[in-house]
Amino acid sequence: MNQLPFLVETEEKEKEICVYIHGDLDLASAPRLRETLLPLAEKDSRTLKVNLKNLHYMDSTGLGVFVAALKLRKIINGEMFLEEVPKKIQRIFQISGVDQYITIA
Amino acid sequence: MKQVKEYYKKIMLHYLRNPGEHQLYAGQQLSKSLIEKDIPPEDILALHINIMKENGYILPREWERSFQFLMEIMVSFGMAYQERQSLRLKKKQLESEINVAISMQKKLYPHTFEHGFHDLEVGFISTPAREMSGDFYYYTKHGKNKLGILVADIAGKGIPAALCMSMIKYAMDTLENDVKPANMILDYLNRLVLKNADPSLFVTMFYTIYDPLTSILTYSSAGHEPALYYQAKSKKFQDLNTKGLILGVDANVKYEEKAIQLESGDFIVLYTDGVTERKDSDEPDDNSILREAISSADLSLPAQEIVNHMYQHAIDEKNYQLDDDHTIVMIRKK
Repeated sequence: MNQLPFLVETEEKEKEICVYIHGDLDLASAPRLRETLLPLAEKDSRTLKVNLKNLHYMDSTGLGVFVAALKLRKIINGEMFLEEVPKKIQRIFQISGVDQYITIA
Repeated sequence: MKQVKEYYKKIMLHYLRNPGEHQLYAGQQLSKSLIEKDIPPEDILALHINIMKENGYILPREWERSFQFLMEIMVSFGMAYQERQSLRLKKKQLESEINVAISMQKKLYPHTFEHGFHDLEVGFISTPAREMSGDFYYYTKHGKNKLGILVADIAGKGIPAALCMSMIKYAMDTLENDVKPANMILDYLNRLVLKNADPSLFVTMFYTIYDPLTSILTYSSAGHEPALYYQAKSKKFQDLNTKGLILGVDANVKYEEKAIQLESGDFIVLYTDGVTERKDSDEPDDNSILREAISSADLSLPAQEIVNHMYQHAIDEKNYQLDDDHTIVMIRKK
């Protein structure tokens, strides 16, 4: 099976930033998500909404980026939501216990 | 630099007036000095052209223009060459680091499960997808009569992951005479990972403690795949799961503990997600690969052979594409 191309898009609004993730999130593509998501998580006080509708696959490296973002959000008391999470990806957040720490809308 | 330029001028002019092998050889030796002094190729070309002009050698206009063109090429060539050298050095350093980590890692895994309990058998297999594995498995005796077994997946690579693995292994060795319950062991390891490991790392772990006196197996999970329990009498499967966050994220996590009683022929299978992951499917991953393998296995065989069968079935299903590390540990009451 061919790997889907990975893409991160952001859309800035007055009170929130939306991040859209497409494709396969793994060891190779995780650095690109890290570059985009972590600075926003660390410094931006607007609500951070991450849409996973087009996220096809995620491994533990990918989960690690969300965990790192979550830690950064906690420091600045910022909010972070995950939206339109496919069932396959939801399971990863459930099994890891991260779903208790991150709001899945 | 001035001396180098003077020397270049000397051997070049000598060559023009009286060409010979020894000037060419001198030029070859000079090129090593030029590289050592980091002189870019465009500077050498500029020097060459200036020496020719200063000594009255006139270039036809087209030749002069062609050298201007060549100068531009040499500028980019020089930059690309420097970048390549820098990347090669970084690659070499990384390879050296990985070799150290691999060598460290090999010493951490047990080669057998020498538990000494006559009514228990353990089979296991662990194969990395790349040079280094993120999977870890280990066992320790708790007091005289209990056996602790863990399977873990360390999310992170290279030396930080190998160090984390090493820390967990040595922490487990210190628990040899301890009779902490499974969930308290996870609590202890969670604080250890949070305090000492690289902040980018986290660990999933499934911990079990078996008491041969009561045949009770207690278990606790930190964000790990559920274990698969097979009951010999009913030939039924059950997932064993408890709530608990992955290790290394939050110091205030409370880990759950549950228990089952094993009867003769019952077994549990601990595994990492590489075994059950189906990258080509949109459905949530579950352990149906293992259930299928067990259903088709000859369960009268030793645990190790059943584990080998499960592993083979898993890789057959993925057409031998090992995208992730695979670890399976089977614990059976005889």
